[in-house]
Amino acid sequence: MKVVVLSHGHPVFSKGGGEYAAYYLWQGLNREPGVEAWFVGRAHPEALHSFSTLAVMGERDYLIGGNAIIADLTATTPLGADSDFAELLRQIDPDVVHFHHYVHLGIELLRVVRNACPRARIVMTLHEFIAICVNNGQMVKTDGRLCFHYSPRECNLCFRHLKPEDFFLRERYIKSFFALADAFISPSDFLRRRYLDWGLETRHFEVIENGLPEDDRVPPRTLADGEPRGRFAYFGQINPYKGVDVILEAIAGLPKASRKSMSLDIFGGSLEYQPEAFRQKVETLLAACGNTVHLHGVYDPAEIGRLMREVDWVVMGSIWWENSPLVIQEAYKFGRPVICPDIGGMAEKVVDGVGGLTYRARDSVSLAALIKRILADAALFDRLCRTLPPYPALRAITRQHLDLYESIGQGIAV
Amino acid sequence: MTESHPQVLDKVTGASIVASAKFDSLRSFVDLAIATEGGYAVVIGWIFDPLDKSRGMARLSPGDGKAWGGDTEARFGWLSKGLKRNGRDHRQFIRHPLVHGVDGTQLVRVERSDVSAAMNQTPGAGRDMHGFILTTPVPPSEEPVLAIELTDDRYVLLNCRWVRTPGDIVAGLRQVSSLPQSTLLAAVRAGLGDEHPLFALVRDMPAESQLASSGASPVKSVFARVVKRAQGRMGAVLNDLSQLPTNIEKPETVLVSIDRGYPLGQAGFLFFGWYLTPKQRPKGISVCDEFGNQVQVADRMAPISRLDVVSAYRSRFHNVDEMCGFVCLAPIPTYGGEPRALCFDFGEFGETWLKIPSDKTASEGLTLAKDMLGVIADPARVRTRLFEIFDTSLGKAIETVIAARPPVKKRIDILQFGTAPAEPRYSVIVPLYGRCDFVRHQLAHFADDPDFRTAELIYVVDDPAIITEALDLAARYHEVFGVPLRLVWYGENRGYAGANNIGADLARGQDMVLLNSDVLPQHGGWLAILARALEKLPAAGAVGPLLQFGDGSIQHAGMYPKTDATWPGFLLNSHRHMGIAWTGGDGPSEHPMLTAACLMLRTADYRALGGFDENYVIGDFEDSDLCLRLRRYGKRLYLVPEAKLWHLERQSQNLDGLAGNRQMITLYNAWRYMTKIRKGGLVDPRTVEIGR
Repeated sequence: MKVVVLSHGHPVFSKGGGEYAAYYLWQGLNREPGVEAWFVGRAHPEALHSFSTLAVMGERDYLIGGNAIIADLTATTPLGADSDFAELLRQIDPDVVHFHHYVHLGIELLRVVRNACPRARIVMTLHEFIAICVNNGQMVKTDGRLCFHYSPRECNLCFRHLKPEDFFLRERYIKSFFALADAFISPSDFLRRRYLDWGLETRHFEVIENGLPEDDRVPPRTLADGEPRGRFAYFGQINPYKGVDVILEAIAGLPKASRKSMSLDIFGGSLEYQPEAFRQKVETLLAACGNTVHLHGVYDPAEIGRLMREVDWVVMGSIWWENSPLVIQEAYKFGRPVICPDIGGMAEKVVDGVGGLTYRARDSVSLAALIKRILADAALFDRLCRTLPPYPALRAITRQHLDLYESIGQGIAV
Repeated sequence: MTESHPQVLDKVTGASIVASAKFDSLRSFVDLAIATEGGYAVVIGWIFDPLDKSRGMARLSPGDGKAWGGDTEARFGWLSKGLKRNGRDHRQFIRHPLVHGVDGTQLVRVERSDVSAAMNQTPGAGRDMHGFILTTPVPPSEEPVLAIELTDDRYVLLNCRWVRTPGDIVAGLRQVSSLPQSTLLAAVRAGLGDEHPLFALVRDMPAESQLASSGASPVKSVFARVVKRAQGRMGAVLNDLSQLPTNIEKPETVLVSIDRGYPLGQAGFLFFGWYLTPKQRPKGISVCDEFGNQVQVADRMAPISRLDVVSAYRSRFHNVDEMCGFVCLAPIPTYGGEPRALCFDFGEFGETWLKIPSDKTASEGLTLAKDMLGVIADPARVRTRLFEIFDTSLGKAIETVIAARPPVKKRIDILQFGTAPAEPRYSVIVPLYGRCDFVRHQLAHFADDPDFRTAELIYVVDDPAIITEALDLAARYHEVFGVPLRLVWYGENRGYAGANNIGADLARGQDMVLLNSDVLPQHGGWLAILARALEKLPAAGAVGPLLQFGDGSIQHAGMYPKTDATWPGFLLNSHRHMGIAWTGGDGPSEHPMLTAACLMLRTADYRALGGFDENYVIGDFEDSDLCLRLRRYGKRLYLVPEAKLWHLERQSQNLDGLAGNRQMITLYNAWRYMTKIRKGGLVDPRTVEIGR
């Protein structure tokens, strides 16, 4: 079986969860007997040749151009039968073309695939809500409120310069391409339900987690005498959606005594690229937290195991729904309970008391209370560690994908 | 005098020709008859006709026997035509001194007070128009036979002694200009302008050495003298209208400002402005041309609202009438650049004269029509009179302008993307205006519809600003969607009707679909559903699908006539049940009219009807117009809701939701629509009986 995995970014240049999920799948597929897989990841123009949309990154590993914007998702690269991408597809002659996202690439690539390889099955893994929500696919309103349901009229309230009809057109346009896909995959049931609510019509729509390369748990950190399990870690980008500020607010609001018995390590960057107001807010909060919080900067996914050794808890602050955050699965993989908001994909992956603890989303007071409870209850950590769910190991996940590819060929409705 | 025209007399009975000497009261004389090398005859003379016995002047064709007994139009084409075009009898030319013939003939009437005096009449304004200068093209060797046509169908031949050589011509002109009645030549310049052959004749005289030894240029001196005398004689007002003001403030009589005038050729002169008469009403208001012809217009000035004037003058006058504005169509033929004056006559308090600026800009057609509609700045405040204003002035003026639009440029560019079906079953015509990204959306929805394998898709770019974008879009998205399509463009904006008619000219399909670009199908197969209905339903002339907004509510499920009490007189269209969820099922139903946002009809029917009426402004009522013409031929119109499409229209059908100028355009169209119904060109939609 020949599979082409398309991603909206190449992890060498773009270290997001979706890019890694696609890349790991490609690696996993190539390890399976009888499977050949190609990776085609979107890259920025400087990484590409001047007069081709394609470039080689490695064996069966391609870069592709594209700068489709969220507002209309229309491709910026050639789409004809003689385009570089169509030529590559015909040369590979794949059985399956698996889109891990469509943003940047352009939604029309689905039809380019259908035109170039009429017999190939098209599979699409959905990540956030970019098809549904113009606000970066977050389903958070531009005034900050959570959004529960797609409606062009409400979208118009978020983006006054776009009329309800513009959102309707965008929806119709995207759906006209989604109709070409043979199956959809969502890493969380929450996201799947949101897309069904939006009106995605498909016979195959499965929940399959994004796979993680196999690795062993790391043992719990050794404690000094009387030391509480008070080392928290945040992994991920620092931006308003990820809610680092919620965590910092919670810590800043703790009594001094509590702060002294805990710490927060922040692994992640991009603060310098954030809007001024947000940056100032975070910097003010960092100053208020003093020695309790340490900023470590960007990390590579390969380092996570090592970094986890020195922490007790993985904490999240996201103010949007999330899909299936990679960081939750990484925590489970290395044996660390997760503290996260109680909404969306996070609430699905972390049920309070099973694999971790949840707090009221966007509520730093709720998080502060939770931290106090954690610091006061010495047995909580061990109790939760015994409930950690299994992580989605790459091999098993890859085989679930292969089963899905096969099942579409057999025309089995799910 | 008849002896010199044997070739004419051969064809005419003696009774047809009378000598002017024998005809009581009518006198005429030709001062000078010039045959130029350039192929023109220029005749300067006068006709004294106190009893109105003449109809006009005629050029008789030698040897053309039929002309004498045949119809007047052919006999006196150059003169009669110009007059008949105005829909009036021949004597009108006396009132309208500048007559432009179709063949280049021009007749100017000029004042000859010397003639009045010679005939023992008191000279005076408006009573001295006896003189004429006639210019008419003739073969160089031919001498035209000129006659005065009488009201009893007889003729008085004009006795002309033709001069041909440069010397004779100059001598003759000098003689004429040295006469006391030398206003003739001044009038040539004032009335005919520098382009007139007579003017060229004077200007391009042979060098003076050939003529006389006076030393000075005889032509120049003659002309200078003539102009000087003419000025003295004609008076400041009529001699140079361009010197008059365009606004006047005389609180004792009148405060008046003329905003603009639109020359409409034979249809007259449309102008607008405002005036206040704080102390007394004028005895008369008239429009004058540069020859002193006057038409009374007081009862033709339709009052319009001018709140700006009210606010400007309220502090000075206690009774400023909001309706002090006016629009007027003066029945005085006027061509671009010709000066016209407005005269307020206050009897013993004198006259107030001002100039009406005549629009000389190159704007025409739609641009001009929109501009003219802007005359009514606030239609809502004159709504009870608006229909009448259209009837008496504005409507007629705009009809003239729209009808005079130049025909579509012959150059139509067509680019075919992909291979169109050899024998298409359907032709789908989509005009593009303003926004063309809908192409991308439509193609995405047509791509997997098998019906489009037998359809030819024609996009008509009716907007010069988006041609490049449309071409790029078509090229790019044809590649990915594979739907063959044709892009048609012509570098101008013809409006919805014009664009569809151009598309329809190219249509090869048996059935035609008129489609808006913001209409998207909800499902495939809609073309076949509509075609089947068109074929099967009794007397079906056109069928339309159910059109829904994005939320599923009705956008169009049949169109009905409606009146609006706030706009008395106008007939509008209404989309019934708009905004309400559709619960009507899939069965067809008949309606008085259907929208053309998506309408299927037979290509042959569309052509037989001549397509859309292009003389509505921009895009209103074309569809109801087409529907009501189909009904004239007994055709019936059906909604076929088994076919469902989305229509993302935002444009309001409600008059109150439209901004000023757009509202006026719709009201104009509504007036025109109603006028066509009144004249019987369209079936009255209020009388349509819907079959069950």
